[in-house]
Amino acid sequence: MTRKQPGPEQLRRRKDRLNSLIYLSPSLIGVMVFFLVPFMVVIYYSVIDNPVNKDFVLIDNFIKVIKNSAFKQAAANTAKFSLVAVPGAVVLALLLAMLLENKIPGKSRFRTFFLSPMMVPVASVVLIWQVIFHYNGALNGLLSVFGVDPIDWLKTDYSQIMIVILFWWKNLGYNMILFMAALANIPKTLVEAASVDGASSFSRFWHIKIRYLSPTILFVTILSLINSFKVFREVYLLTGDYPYETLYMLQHFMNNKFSSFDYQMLSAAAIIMAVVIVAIIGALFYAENRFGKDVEQ
Amino acid sequence: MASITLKNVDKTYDGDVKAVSGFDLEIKDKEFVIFVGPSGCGKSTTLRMIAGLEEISSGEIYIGDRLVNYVEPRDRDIAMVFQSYALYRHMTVYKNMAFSLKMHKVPKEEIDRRVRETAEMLGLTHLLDRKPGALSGGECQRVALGRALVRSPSVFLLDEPLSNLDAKLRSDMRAEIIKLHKKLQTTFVYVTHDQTEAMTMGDRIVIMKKGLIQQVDSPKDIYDHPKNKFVAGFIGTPQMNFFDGEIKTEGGRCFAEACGSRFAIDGRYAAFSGRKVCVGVRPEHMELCAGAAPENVISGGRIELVELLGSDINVHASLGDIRFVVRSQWQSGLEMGSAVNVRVDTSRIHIFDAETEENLAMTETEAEA
Ligand SMILES: Nc1ncnc2c1ncn2[C@@H]1O[C@H](COP(=O)(O)OP(=O)(O)OP(=O)(O)O)[C@@H](O)[C@H]1O
Ligand SMILES: [Mg+2]
Repeated sequence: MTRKQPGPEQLRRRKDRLNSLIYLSPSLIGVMVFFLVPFMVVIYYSVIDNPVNKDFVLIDNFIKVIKNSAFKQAAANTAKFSLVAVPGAVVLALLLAMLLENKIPGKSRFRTFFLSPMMVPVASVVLIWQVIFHYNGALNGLLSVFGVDPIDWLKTDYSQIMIVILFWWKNLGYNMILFMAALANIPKTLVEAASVDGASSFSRFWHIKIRYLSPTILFVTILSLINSFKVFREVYLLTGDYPYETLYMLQHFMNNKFSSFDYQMLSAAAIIMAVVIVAIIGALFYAENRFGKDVEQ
Repeated sequence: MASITLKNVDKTYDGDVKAVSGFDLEIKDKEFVIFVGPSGCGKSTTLRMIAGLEEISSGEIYIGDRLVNYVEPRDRDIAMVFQSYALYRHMTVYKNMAFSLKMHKVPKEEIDRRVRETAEMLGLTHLLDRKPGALSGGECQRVALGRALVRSPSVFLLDEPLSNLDAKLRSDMRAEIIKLHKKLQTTFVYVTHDQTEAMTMGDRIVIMKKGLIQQVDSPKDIYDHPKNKFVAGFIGTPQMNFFDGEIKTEGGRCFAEACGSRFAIDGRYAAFSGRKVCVGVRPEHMELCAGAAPENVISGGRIELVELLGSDINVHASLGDIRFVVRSQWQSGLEMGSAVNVRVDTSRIHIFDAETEENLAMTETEAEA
């Protein structure tokens, strides 16, 4: 048996692959240095006892994290927050986009209005919110006019609602723009055909439009989900290291573990969080794939 | 089952595109009306206004006795076949066809019966479980047709429903739609730019040009008595021949002078004596003849091209820079470049005013009436 010489087709393909590798390499190197390598390091840290001993302990760190009450609190808070904030951000943005589809005077001003929070730096956003919601802030001042006792917005159970609203305020505009683009892409004749066929505006939405929106819904959901895990930034700036307990997010936990040099627990927690996010996103992709597959041209 | 009345309907799109102007038409109950005209003349726009998909800029539209200017499409009791199919891509053929019935809350068994019946009629039964993505253009078009036909609305609106079918399927479907119209006893409004469809299917044809109605008549009347030069040229293949000329009276007889010859025409044209006109003769109303003659014969033409169409031929000829076509039986000895004489059937001549392009015969009768 002689070894087969590679045919011209194979040679060409090999060359193509080499070429694409060369073109990809700059960003590939970037991803490796700033993403893959740190991720490997995190995995490494999560399975050793400490950076000095470097003894291999397998899942001890993970068990420790899961049993940690601060972690449990943080995970529960984050889950609760995401569960409310993310679907809300998606649905509200879609509703707003559909509203702005109609002929409304001053439509473009509305758009700018909803987009502006995106352009404001977080620090100044937080400043405004502090001015409004501080115990001696504007809102309490206003309420006192009506004889309502002052509420410490950020140190009661109201605080979670505050954060959800802050999150929406920050994210709705961008989501809405994405939905507006998607709505504009729905084939017009299909909607017309449905209306001739006797579909009400709800049926038109439910049977036709939502199919064409599903990739965007998926994208906006993932985006909002990731942003919801990042709400820590706003919370941290508003309330510092140890906020009111319902505001204690996963990243507070990690941040605090970082300051106390407990890299093992930090890494284990990060991996658990990553696994959960990946699982959720995977499930979303699977659902979208099944739901929207026929409408993609 | 309903009549449709359009009263002075105008449509101006944003940006001052005048798509339809002063559209006046009464479509009787159970009538089959065809809209024809060149691309962009406003056929689809008019149909879409009847459907309620396009706001009308001014005027009134009635379906039956009801003013529908502000009625939603879904409340107009119409079914429509779209020029671009507009099939729901995520639904199977069955669901596509069942959709409107479902929206109208028809019971499940009834939906099933009607969908299967319609699918049978359109030869779609084996495709019911497929999705539009897996169908050919012609199959999609039949599904689009089926989706409209499963219902029994009071008006059917069809926008070029056969444009993507092959010749055989098209003529089959044409016959099928005519039968359907007979069976359903419903008002049909049908848009096409195909002459055969226009001539064979409709009770009446509406010919449009640049948003204006040119003529509304039965196919035969449109063929025999075109109101103006545009209509005359638009209906009939090959196109009607036009010759510039003038009307003369001589010794009590009336002639149209053109092509270096003169054609005896009816005495009633005497009123237009001296008028510059355009003489129209259909290719099928001319014949090749042997000898020259002082009257009713165009002599000295040169054959430029002979088109063979089975038993018939189209002879394209020229006389100076005038070009014309003669429909004839096949005969030998017709060579390119050889000379021909053509006899014109003067009883079928149409005379149009050179400026207004109106048919003089009809302006006259209108003047009398
Ligand atoms: N949404 C629109 N906005 C602006 N102009 C339009 C719009 N839709 C159609 N028009 C214009 O209106 C005119 C009539 O269009 P319409 O679609 O009714 O033509 P049609 O007779 O159906 O032509 P075809 O045979 O090509 O389908 C055209 O000049 C077209 O450019
Ligand atoms: Mg059209």
